[in-house]
Amino acid sequence: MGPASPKSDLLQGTLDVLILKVVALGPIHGYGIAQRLQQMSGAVLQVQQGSLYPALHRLEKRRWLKAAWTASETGREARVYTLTTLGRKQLDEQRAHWDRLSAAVSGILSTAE
Amino acid sequence: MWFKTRRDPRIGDEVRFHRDRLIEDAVARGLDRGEAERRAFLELGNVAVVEEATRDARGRWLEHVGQDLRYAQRMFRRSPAFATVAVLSLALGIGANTAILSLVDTVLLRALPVERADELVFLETVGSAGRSGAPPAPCFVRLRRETPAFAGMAAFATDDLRLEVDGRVEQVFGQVASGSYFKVLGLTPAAGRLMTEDDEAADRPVAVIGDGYWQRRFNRSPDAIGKTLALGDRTYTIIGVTPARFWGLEPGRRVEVTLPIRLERGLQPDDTRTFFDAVARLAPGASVQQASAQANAVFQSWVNQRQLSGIQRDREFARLELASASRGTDGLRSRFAMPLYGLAFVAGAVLLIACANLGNLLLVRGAARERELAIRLATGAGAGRLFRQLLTETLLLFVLGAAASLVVAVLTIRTLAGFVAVGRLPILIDVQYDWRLALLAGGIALTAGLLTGLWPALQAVRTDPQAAMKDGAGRVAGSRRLEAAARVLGTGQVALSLVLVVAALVLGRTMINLRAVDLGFDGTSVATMSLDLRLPQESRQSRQDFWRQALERVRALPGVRTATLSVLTPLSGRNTSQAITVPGYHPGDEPDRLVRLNHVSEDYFQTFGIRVLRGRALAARDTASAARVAVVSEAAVTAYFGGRDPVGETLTLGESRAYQVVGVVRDHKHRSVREDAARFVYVPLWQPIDDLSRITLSVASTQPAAALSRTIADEMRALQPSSLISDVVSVDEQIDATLVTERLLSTLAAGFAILALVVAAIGLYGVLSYAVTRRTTEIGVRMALGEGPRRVAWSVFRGALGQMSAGLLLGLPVALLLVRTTEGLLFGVTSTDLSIYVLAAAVLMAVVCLAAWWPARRAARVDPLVALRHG
Repeated sequence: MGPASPKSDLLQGTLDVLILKVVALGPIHGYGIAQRLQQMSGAVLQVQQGSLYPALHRLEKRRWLKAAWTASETGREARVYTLTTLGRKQLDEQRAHWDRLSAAVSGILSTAE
Repeated sequence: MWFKTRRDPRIGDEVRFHRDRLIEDAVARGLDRGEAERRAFLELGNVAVVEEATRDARGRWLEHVGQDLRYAQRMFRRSPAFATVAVLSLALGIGANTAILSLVDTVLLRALPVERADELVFLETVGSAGRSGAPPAPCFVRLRRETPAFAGMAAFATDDLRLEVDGRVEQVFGQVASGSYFKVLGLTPAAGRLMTEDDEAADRPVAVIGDGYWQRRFNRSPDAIGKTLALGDRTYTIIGVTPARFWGLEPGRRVEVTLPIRLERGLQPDDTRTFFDAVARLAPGASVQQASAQANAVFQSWVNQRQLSGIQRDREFARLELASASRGTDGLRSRFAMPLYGLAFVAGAVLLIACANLGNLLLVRGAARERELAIRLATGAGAGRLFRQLLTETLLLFVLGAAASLVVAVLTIRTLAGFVAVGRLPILIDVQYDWRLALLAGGIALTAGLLTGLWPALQAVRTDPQAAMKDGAGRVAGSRRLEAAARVLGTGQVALSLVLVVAALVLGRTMINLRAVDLGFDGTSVATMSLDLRLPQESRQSRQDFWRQALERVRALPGVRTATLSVLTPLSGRNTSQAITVPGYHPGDEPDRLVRLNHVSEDYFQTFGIRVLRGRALAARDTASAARVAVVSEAAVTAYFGGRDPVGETLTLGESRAYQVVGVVRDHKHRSVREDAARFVYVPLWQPIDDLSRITLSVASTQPAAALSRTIADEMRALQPSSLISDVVSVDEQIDATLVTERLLSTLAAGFAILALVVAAIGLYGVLSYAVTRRTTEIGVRMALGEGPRRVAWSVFRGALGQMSAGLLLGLPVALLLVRTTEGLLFGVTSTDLSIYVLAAAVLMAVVCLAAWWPARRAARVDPLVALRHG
């Protein structure tokens, strides 16, 4: 697959919630998602772009996202994703879960040695 | 496109969009295009790989199937010939087998549609004269009382019944049966009720009709029940209808009407005539052996009481035996068992050929596509995916073939059923399309298709993709193996084709030989029909008067050349014999004493074109009051008169009726085309030995039989309202009917052989063409080195001929064996007839050369320059 990345690999399942978050900001195509993820994570998280598409289609199949071919900003047709109600709910749940998890993890990590 | 799904996600387009944007953005940032592309590849990966992974993530099995179907459909469109041949050969292979096996099942295997058919047995008296029906009525009555091993017994006798329905006389096939008949069989009525033992005890004049008759005569109206049928002087009331599937106990015939047999009325205790058959149901727990022992004991005790002559006892009443009745009487089975198994064999061969052909085509295609498969494998298609795609292609072909086979099967069944339903006694069979048999034939074809269809995928998976792709012309070890397998299949096809061609040739020659047999008579343009008459006060005189008037009227009809009345007509399937005594002739054994006897009116020999060799024919002046005269056949002259001129001599028929011989006529075939000429004595219709009831009118005319018979029926009704014309059949059709087995076999064998040859030729063509394509470079090199086009073409031919020789060597012993085992069906051909095999081989050779011609020509026209440049 893609070249070996020197940056952190994504935690299992993290990519899904990141995608949901990005799509929640507004309808967007796959390339846009990849760009946005890179910007938002400050290039810390390297998304292997090839693995973006299986994830997108998986989410579509779970009906968290829906997709349609529409003209993109360059005029060429692109497949644009939008968040469904189900996806919105999922994002909220995931975010709550993530908050709890990260609070717990940072609580452990910040304990004085 | 057939399988274009609306919801196709177009993953490839989406990923390409991503890649293109990566490149564009990189170029916009100032990178040069090459570098931009490199970076895009690093970041995104291979488009095809991403696409495949994404498809897997969607995990939509159906979508894969849709895609596979689209691929398959594209493949078929690219090579329609391949698809057509594969589908057709499957359709024919499966269809023919379903049809023939359905026929085999119907005629040979199927149990009667009655309750627990395996408990039923026929009672048969056996003696040195052979098997016959049930013992005489007095014994039957005793058996019914004294055999506890039988839960029930029933007597029945089938016959053509002359019925009067709604004021019209008609002839239907029917039976008389004892009241227990339907109970013993365990039948339930389709309408009304069935005849019972109470009806028999009360001597009620009731009638049960068959479903077919109900449909034909009464249009399934419930009003049919209560209507009356008159037979002779008795009127019967219809009380019910038998189930549609039940046609009686005699396969090939359909009982339309069942009337009570009146077994015990006027029963003579010393009656030893047998005229009916008996069926019995074994009591629960009773074995056939027990029942047989009990029944035979009763029978022996009855025979002892009767004090029969030793001769009669040995000949007719030696013992009583039970025969399984689960499939009905075995007349049809014994007649058709051999031909039908032969046909099943032929159909099986056709199926094998179809399988081999399909396999062959799939293998060759698989080999040709090895490169494509290798590429797909290399670009990330999993082996499973590849298998599935080939599987889809094979299955699609198969489904199309199976669907088409339905049409083939139904048409074949209809043709076969029509084939045997000809002549005076048409064989009626209730053959139905049997989906279980279609499943069987289809399963065999499917297995073969899967084995050969998936092998290329297996080869591709094992092949190193890099090697396959590097090799421009697809010259890989795997494809050589596939080609070798295809060649083996081709050889098998040639072998089977040879067997079929030999079968077609021997049967065809049999048919030609039978047709060429000198029948001794000429029935062209002669129609025969039964002329039946019941007069209120019937006497010999009144009947003869009617016959005379009938003949006069028929002779006066337009287009009629001659007309005659007789008891027998040639090849009608009927027969009557009489004991003959000739001074100076000493008969050897019983059959020697019997001569075939025909009662004929004047013009009989003229109508049938039977030549009078000596003396004179029977004439109108040979009336009841004139001197009794007879005409004999050549065979009779040889047998009874030692070959001397018998004209003027006297012969005695029966006990004491003397006839003077006035003429000698040529022998003719009577029972079958195959038999040796029988001894015949002809006596005038007007000087009968006993009462004649059944009489046949034969008319030589320029009119077709059907139209002629309608005119004649009208004439006869005008003459006598109760007269009935039935069994109308042209003599030519009747001859066909006696040859029905041979015609069935020869026609089907010829059809199958042609099919096999076409299929084999196309298969061979496919393999050879592929081989030429594959070897284009090699051929180019050889031509560049100075080999002539002729030698190149010859090399292609040589390959084909090699396959053929191997096939011939393989097929010859099988063909020989087949001909030897079926020699009983042949006529004028034997298994040692070399010309058959030579001709078959020549036919195959011609077909193989035809198939090889085009590929050979293409090979000869290879342009070395072009071939080498592309190699």
